[in-house]
Amino acid sequence: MTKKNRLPGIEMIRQDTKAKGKTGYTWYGILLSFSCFLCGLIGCVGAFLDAFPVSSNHKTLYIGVLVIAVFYEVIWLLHKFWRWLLLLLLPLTTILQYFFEDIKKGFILISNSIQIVISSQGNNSSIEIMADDEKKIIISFLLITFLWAGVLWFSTMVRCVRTLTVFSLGSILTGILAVGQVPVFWAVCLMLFCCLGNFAGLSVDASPARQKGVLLTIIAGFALLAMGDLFAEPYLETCFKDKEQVKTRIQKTSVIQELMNSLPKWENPYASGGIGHGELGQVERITFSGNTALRVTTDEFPKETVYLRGYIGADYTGKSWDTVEDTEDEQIAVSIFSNKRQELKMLYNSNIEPFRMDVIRENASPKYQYRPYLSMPLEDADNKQYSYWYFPRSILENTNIAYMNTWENYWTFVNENYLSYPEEQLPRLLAQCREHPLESVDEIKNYIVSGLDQMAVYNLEVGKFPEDEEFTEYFLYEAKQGYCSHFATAAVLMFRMYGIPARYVEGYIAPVSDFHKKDGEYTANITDKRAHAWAEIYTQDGGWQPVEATPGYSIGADLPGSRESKETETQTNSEKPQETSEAETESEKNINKAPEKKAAGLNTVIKIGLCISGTFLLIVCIHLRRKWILRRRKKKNVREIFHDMYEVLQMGGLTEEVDCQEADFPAFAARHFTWMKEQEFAEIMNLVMRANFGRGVMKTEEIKFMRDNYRYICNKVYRNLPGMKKIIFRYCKVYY
Amino acid sequence: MKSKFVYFVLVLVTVYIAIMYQDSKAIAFLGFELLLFICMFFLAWYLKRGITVHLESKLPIAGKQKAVPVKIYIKNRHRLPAAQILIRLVYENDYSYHSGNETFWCSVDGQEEKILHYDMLAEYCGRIHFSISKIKVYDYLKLWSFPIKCKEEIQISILPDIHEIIASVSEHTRNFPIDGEEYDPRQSGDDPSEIFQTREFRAGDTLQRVHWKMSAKTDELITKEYSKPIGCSVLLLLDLHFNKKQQNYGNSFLQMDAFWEIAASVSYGLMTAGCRHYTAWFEEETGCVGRQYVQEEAQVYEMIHRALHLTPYLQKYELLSGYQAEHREAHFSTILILNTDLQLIKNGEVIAEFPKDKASEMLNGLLLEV
Repeated sequence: MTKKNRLPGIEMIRQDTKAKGKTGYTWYGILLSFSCFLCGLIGCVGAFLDAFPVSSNHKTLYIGVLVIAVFYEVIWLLHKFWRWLLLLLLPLTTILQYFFEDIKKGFILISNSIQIVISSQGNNSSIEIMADDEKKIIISFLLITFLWAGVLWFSTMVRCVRTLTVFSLGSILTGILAVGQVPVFWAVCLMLFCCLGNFAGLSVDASPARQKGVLLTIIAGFALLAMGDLFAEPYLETCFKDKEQVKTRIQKTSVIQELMNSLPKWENPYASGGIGHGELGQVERITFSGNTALRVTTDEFPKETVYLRGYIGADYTGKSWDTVEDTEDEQIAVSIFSNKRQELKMLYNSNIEPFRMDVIRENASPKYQYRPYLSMPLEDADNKQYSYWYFPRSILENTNIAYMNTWENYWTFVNENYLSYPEEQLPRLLAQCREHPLESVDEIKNYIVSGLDQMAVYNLEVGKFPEDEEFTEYFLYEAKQGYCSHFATAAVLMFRMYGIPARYVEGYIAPVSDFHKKDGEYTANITDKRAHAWAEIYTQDGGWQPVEATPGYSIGADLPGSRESKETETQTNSEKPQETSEAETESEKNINKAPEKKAAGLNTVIKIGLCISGTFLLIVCIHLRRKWILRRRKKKNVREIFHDMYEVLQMGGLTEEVDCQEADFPAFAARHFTWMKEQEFAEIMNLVMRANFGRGVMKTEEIKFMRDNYRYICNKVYRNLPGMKKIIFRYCKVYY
Repeated sequence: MKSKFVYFVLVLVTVYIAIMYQDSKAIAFLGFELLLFICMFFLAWYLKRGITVHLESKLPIAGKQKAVPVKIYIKNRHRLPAAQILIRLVYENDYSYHSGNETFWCSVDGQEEKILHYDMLAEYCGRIHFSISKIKVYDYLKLWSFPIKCKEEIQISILPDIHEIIASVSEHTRNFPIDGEEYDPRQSGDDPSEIFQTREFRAGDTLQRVHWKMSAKTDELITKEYSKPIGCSVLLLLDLHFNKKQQNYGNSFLQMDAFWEIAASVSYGLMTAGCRHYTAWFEEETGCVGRQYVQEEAQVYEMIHRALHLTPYLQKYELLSGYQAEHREAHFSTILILNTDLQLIKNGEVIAEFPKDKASEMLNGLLLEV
């Protein structure tokens, strides 16, 4: 193998290069090449047959494989083997045509055998083959082997393409490993010897020294394999004693997910956590895809944030919220709201019409209906779309009708199921609640909401909590930061401690800013960023109602992060009802800006951290590049040093028109750069001329002289450069 | 590095298989891979210690387009064969701006010497330097390599082609009084200031030439033969002051090639016309003016060989003044100056200007009168 970089006017002819052809072959080389090829071929066939027992007649198959190997070897030994190969393929094609049906059937049988092994998931499964089918399988198998052997033959003997050899052998091994089988040891050894031979540069016309090298490599490989099996394995096994744990970890780890997690997140910090089906603190961080989860359509523009309940948790286990069957709640709602609608119509002389709300599920979990509060489901629902009659809370409050009192049975059910909490696990929270005895629901609600706001900070990147810590206690008293699930859980438990039935809800919220007018309706595309968790309390005169304990959220207020879009909406839709702007004004009043600032601050810190890290990385890269270039400069010869020197002088103000080979160049340069004498420039030029046209080898002192002058010139030029050019000089061009 | 990376990936795959599959043989394979990796390191180190490389060319001077053999001797003192040796041969012409190289892989059997034989064909004259810039000995799988130092360098001078020019020596030059300090060691002459040899008196010898003192001592008549002063009436000055821009790559090749062809042809033409002459030049390295007396063909080649070691210089140098100051012989009937612009100047007058790519055509049949 020769790589040339020619010089004009000089031609180098290698005399001892063998002429292309087969004159350089030795029997020794041919035997070695054939052995390697045969090893690879039999290794692959053996590994395949062991993993996929397509036929029981292995003896015939191996004889066939041997014949194929010899066939290729003979073809190779004949001159112009491509011609012979094509010539022999003609009768082969005729035979194939004759046995076409058998081959076809054989392929199907082989395919079925492989499928059986795959479906058995690595368990040894015996396949019964009929005697008639055996012949068909053998023919098909040998045909596949013939074609595949051609690839291996080409890669090992014809062209010595290492990549192709690895690919042809590795594909078999990968296939076997992929179906849960382990390739048989002896077959892998044979393949290994084939690879070793190929990587050691084996070819038929290789020099004797190289052929000996190949043979020695294979022998050494054999010896080392034995040593590895006998001596190294016991030592290495101690390193693999925990391999089961690692294996489980690998199996449970998604590389893509890990990569995704390692990427920096630039998500909206005001978005709440995703629906976790009641699981608490089980995720390292919250991620959002930005896909639409639900599409909500209403007849009229909503005046407050719409809460869509999904998962409802009743029992707190310390790690999750478990649900209980609560069918009565649904029946009550249907019963009440079907009457209520009529009552409202009568009360307000039919001026107030409840809203119709359609909730279309896009990418949200299909496990739940996403139902707004104070609503009654309509019958025309399908699996994806639910329609509700929806009553705004403000309207119901105006009616002042205590309609829930009549449902005493449900009140009992609620008290039985939604008041429990693990006292022994929550000593600090219980003590805190007992220290602040309160009576009215409003007082309790205010205390809990404001208390949580003061106790913890909203943070989506809180991560997993320690396994041995109680979730709520750790959140409130140790971590002091969390997201909606944390706040909602704490709120529910505190309500229960005060004797108010409460439950944990996960679902979606649709702030008013998300609604856009379209075809006379108001539609909101709710992305997964709007997934949320909140607390619900039950009162006899109000039924289940949400309590927003997460800082930055409040019932009836728009979300802080959505304000911008809402303003845009207001500007573009001038015909929007008056209520919208009122709602906005009210919303702005209700927003608690403290957590927003905290979250924004946290985000800024992360961004600054990333910027600093990025800058540091950039500086390191620039420094390494500079080091690398300077190291290369140190190796330059006189001509190359002068080339750089000339560029430096040009950067220092030397006009490009000046020819450095003119006789008066030293005088000119000395006039221009007064810090250097003409004689010094002349000496440099003489040295360069000698390097260019004179003796090839320069003395070490001469190179040192040139390098010292270069450094001196760089130093002087650098000092006189303006600021920006100094940076370019040192860090872009790296002259000095 | 590529091989190491591939090997590293292979080890990782083996580790993965060892973890994921219930098979102890994967660990054995891992052990094998690690052992092989270490084994190959020591093998490469061992092989490196036994390899020596030597560069040789037995023909230091050759003509253009003549095959010059260049041999690289690679000796392996150890018993194990060195199957993967990387060698880079670098060659460079004095007048070139870049260097060429040949990189090749070779293998040497145990306790053997391999000779890599190259034939070099040069199109332009000048000195060509050969050196080995890189030798790396690899293990059999090319995982590890160790460099070997080789500082050997050879130089081959490629002589310019000599073209036949017609030189005519004028009467004036032929009879020009020569005032030389050197005398012909082979011929006697008429300069009484230097005795060439003494011999027995023969009939016809004049009495003025009798060496009386020696005759008295030897008791027989001894005659003095005077020396013949060697001098030249023609001076050929080679002005290597280089003042042209190198417009593109390879320009200096042609220019210097044409320069030396003209110089050699003129000198050879004068020699064949029986015109003894000096060829002189400025040696920038020593700061002296060197010269070569040319009377015979061999002296022409000697002149060329010496001249090929010269370096063109940038600083202007008054060659004639320098010559006169150094060698005193100020009187020549004809002074020819050849400069790097390929102008041939006779006694201050340009008599020929050669284009660099057609110098040989112009030289053939050129009439030069001195």
